[in-house]
Amino acid sequence: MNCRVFKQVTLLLIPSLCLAEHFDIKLTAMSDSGAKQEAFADQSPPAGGLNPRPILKVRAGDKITFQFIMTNVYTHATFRGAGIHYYVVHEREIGQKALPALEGAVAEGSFNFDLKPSARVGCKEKVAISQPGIYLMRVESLRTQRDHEHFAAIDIEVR
Amino acid sequence: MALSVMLAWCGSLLGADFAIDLSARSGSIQQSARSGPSVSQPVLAVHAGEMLVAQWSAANPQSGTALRDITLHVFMDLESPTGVAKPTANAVYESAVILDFEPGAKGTGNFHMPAPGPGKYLLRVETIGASKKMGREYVAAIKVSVL
Repeated sequence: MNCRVFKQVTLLLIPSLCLAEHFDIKLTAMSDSGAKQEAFADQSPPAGGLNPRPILKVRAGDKITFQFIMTNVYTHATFRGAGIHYYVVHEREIGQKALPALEGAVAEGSFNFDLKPSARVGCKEKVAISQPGIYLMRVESLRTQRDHEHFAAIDIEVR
Repeated sequence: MALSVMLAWCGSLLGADFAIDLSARSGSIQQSARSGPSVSQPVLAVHAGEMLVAQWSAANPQSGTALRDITLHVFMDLESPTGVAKPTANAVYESAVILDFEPGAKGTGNFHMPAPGPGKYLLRVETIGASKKMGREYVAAIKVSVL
């Protein structure tokens, strides 16, 4: 490979290396009153990620259907002992960067397995939140042995 | 060589087969089910709004056959009046994970949520795709009666 071609290839690769992702995530939350929000893959660190979270506004007691699909787009290796964790939990304020404690979570779940290249995880769940307040709905990767994990999150304002 | 063949044979006699274990709990009451020839489904009674915890695992024994592209499908929905074990669009929970189960591999999952409105629900974990190599799918199920 001559020097010019090498430089061109390197220049093409650098942005993709910087942006190297290992999960594609789509998180959707819908209330039975018709409100809907979507969030996509973000990463942590930094705490709370890089992107602002969408806000779903609902009334107390509304049924909320949330659904996520996560795809492992890192095609080079299986993540042994990886995990996917999701939850809906009360938080102090919209856009809060620090993760709230999970005690008293409205809903929570996880999956633990060897995550092979192109593996997909899909989950749909219905919840109703009876207490007004601000809640965080978040799905996140765990133990992928990289310097960051991926997540998608939506704030829920319950009136 | 002869020993490993004998151990594998003994394992098959002892039921060392791919297996799904499922449990559901609310407070101090718990029910469990394991995939197998039995079709009995234990019943867990809970009150609406009480925290319901479900946990499952699917494991391939060390002596098992490698299984690829197995979908582990989990759902909880009102029981169908026709007895068809398929989730509807109104299922309170549904998930699907596509996994390879090498010999010795295991996958686990869980969820907790407030029990939904009163009714008779089916919580079911099933494989989709195991029959290609194993000749059957694997299912574990618990009935959840919400009062």
